[in-house]
Amino acid sequence: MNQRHRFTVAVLVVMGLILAGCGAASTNSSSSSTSGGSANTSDILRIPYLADMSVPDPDIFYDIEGNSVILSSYEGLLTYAPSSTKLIGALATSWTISPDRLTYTFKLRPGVHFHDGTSLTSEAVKKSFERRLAVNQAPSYMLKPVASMTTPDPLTLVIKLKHPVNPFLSYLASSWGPKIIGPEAIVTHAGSDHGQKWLQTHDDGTGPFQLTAFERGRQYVLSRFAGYWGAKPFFKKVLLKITPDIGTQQLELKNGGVDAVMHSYPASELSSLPSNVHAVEVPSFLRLLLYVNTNKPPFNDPAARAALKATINIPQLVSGAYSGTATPSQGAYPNGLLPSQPSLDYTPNPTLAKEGASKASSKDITIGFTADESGVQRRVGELLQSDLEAVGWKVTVKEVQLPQVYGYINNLKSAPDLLLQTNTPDAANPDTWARIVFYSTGGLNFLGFNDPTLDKHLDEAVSAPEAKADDLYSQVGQEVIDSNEMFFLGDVKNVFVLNNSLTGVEQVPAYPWTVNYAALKRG
Amino acid sequence: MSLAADRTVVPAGIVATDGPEPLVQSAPVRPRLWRRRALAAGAAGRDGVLGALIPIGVMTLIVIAAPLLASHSAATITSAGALRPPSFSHLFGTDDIGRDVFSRVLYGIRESWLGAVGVIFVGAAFGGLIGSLAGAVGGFLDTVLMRLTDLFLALPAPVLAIAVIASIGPSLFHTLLALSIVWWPWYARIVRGEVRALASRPHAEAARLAGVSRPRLVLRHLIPGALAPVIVTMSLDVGNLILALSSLSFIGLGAPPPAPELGAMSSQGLEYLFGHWWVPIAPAAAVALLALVANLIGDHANRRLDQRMT
Amino acid sequence: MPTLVAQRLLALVAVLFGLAVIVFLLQVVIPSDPARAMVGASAPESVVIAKRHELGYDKPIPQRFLDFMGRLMRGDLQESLRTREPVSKDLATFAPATLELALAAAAIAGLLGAWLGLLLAAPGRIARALRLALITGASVPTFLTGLLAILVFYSLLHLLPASGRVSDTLVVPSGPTKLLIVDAILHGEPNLLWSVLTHLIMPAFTLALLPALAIARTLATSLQKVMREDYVRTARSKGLAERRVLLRHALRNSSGPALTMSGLQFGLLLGGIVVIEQIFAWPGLGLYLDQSIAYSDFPAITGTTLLLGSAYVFVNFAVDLAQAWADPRIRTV
Repeated sequence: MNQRHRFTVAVLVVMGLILAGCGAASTNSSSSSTSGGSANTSDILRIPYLADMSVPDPDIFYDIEGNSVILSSYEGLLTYAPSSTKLIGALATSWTISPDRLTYTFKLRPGVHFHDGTSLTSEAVKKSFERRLAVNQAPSYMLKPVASMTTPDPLTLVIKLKHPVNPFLSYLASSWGPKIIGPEAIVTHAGSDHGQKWLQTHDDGTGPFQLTAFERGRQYVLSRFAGYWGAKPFFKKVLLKITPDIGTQQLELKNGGVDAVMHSYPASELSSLPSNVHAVEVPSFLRLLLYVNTNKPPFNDPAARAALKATINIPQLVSGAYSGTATPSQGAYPNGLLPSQPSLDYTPNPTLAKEGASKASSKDITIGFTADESGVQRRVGELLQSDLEAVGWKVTVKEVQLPQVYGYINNLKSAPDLLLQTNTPDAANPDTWARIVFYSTGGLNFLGFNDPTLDKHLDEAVSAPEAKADDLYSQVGQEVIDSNEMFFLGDVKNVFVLNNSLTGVEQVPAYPWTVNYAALKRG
Repeated sequence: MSLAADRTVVPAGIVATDGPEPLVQSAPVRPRLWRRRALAAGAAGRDGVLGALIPIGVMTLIVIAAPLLASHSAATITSAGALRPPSFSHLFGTDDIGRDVFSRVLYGIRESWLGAVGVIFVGAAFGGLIGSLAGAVGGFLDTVLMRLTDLFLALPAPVLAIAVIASIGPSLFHTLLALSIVWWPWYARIVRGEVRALASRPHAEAARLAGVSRPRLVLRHLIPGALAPVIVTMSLDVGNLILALSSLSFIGLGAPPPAPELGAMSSQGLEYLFGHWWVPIAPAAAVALLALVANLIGDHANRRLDQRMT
Repeated sequence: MPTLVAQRLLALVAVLFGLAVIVFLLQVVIPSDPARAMVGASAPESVVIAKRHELGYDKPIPQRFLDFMGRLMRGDLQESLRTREPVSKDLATFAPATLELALAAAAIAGLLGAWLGLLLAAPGRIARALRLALITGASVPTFLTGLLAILVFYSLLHLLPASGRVSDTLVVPSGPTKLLIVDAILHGEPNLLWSVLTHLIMPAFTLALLPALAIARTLATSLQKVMREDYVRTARSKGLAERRVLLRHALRNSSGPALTMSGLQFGLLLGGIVVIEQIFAWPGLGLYLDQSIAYSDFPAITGTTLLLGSAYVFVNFAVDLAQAWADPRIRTV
């Protein structure tokens, strides 16, 4: 091909592309979007997710985004009554506990079907629980105290524990608690990994919805399960669309492209919502904590921690960062987990704060926070920085990744001096909070808080009679408060922003970011 | 693919027209011509350099002085409250925790401009060195240097940035360091390309034939000739870099708070775009303004360069 | 030419190896605990240690490097800590969306860049006004351009959808190419094709904008330079029309820097996908990378980096060859 021809060909190709482009553009301009208008009457519910969930396998899943997939497709033996911490039966209709608190007998609900069509039996429950232990991922700890399980008849399950475990029933109702999985997953597709592979893209629960498509990065489809034992859900389908930008979510909500934004809606915009949506704000157990690193100067010195405490102005921090979507924390535990708990005595004292800062062995401190879509932790970090610098500290605020945070425990000297984190207990029980946050080996005890007496109290409390246990938990709370090694800043609300056509918001404080899709209705 | 066959008679730099343009054998009459053009290129190069450096210097002084106009410090939380709309006491309103946006933007202009200029100078100096070495020496060294360059270009910048920031801790300086590491290869490529193209131009050929030594050829003729595109790129890059910083901030890898870096301010304020637009728009507009100024400087330098060349 | 190709191919392999080394070093450098991240906060220490062993994170670094290279050779990129799937499978899932977006954006950037470059190169007031407009356009951060585009074309005009690759109620065919435009044509589904095109336009344009402007400016600069060369004057003096001179002679000879710039801009484009895919909820590698970064999912980050890096190396390899083909001088010096 000589040069002239080559050039002619190139020009022709370019022209062809331009024509193709124009063609596309001109056909495009004749269209108009229909997604906005039809949303309000449709029996399809569209909800955005900010990120992909890890895996829809209830024995592995241990995050927050993705809760609603698990809770829509699976059920456990127990659950919580709407808007409360009261335990009610889900797949169990009744249960009894032996006086020594070691034997639990559950009567199962008759007429329940798995999504694979088979009926719920006590044998299936037993198999599911065994699978959780065999898969042995993070949530398996809830069943570790189980000594044996027997199935005297198809609708009766007897569980024997190794030692009394106060929160055992709470575990069974937890969002991350043991769910009952059908034989198609556990037997037919068991493979060599207890069906883990198959459950990455399928479900076999008893819930009101069935996971019919799991397209990572695009959307998950939950379809109404015709054989559901409970009330028939209004929505035929729930589309969970991965929409990683909150700005895009806001615009789609306003235009009817999605029906609700279940979390991270910018708090400051709640007072100026578009007219076609409304917000529902309810308490959750999510709370913001400030961890103090006592393994290095300056906060290895109790006096420096006391000065820190005298600096923090919690109501101001919380209202500044959350614009009313959180309330200042009342105690070491989320509200409602204990009949009464020692209250926090955080009163700012500028004199003490300045004096403490001037005497500190090092004035350079670092505040770590993890990025969240709504920027709350960043704002708290900046406000805190401003308060601390005003009394003489020199503060660096830095953003850290969650896995890094988990790694701090291995090298506490290089960890930040102060760490902001938002955590939630696994269930509505004080033990599920104290054990992961306060216990020396707790998974959310990021900066190595270590008090042997407190550990002993917690070990005692887990098996103690209820009243005694509550006393012990209160005592532990007081110990944490007195240590000044952890500060409890705010109790965060669930904020659901929904299209006005939606009614029937049913939720539970122990299930963060989650609305019961089966109870939602249009009109 | 046999491409060489129909191209061998085409003299360097000249497309096969059937015009009277002299071929290589006219070398004896060329020396005067190449000297004139090379001198022009050198002079124009200097002119172009000055045409860019003087305004950039002036702009740098302006941005250093800008915070003098600020009514508050960048970190002060004012008593006006959060998310107040623009008013006389707060020209661009207040941000999500009640800081004066106008003051922060002024500080941000300084941070972002100085940061961007710093990265560019480091990048251009290092990349220019590598590129001119590769282009002038050629051969094996060229291959090695350019593959090294490719290697750095091959790394998606955000990931390299995350590694650097994660290992040495976050700060504006580290973010800029990470950017310098991913930025220089651009200059290496451009300089190398220019040097190689210039080296094959008639005036360089002629100079070579006239016995000009290689280092001298490179220093006096090729590098000054390559300055023009470098300057255009540099001036464009101020804006690009500010944008790159803001993109890193957008995915959570930019300057950490409370640094008044424009990109970080604008991306962190993005959630207020629909209700309190001034929070993200004021810094974004400052980015645009800075980039505009930088681009106009680049254009101006470029035109001066061109005028002298013709 | 064949030797040139061989030489570049050899270099290509070296670069890919270097890329692998650097990517491996990044994994080693980053101070976090992937094993802990994988099993979760409440898991006892014994589970973490077992996991760490299973992942091979407890071996000495040289051994880990050999393992890493061995796995790479077999195309094994380990399992994602987040999705629990082999990373290679995840990449196969996410790559087609990015490929489609990048191809569309590259085509738009090339065409728009060339067209604007020609406009800019012409002397006169219009070019000057245009230049100002372009400079201003190039000064707006990409995420803002993206959100403003959604605001205008989705929220105000209701012309284009805001998120995703295709309408959420449509079933996406499973093949054969996974490029939805091609698949829609192959399956003869106009509705699908329509939906794909409307979803593609906004992200592709937003992604193409900055590279297009850079290409345009580079092209214009070198065009103006070439237009003053002797042979162009000669061509003009022969009475050739300006347009013909521009297109026949000047454009060709000034395409070198623009081509280099296009190759480099492809890197910018790949960097841009992280931001663009996040805003437009585009289920591609950028989204995957962003989610993986947030999870410190290093096998996934490594895999994505390797894939994007290799794609970039290959594109610039092609640009190199194209340049050598277009401009024989490059081969001789």
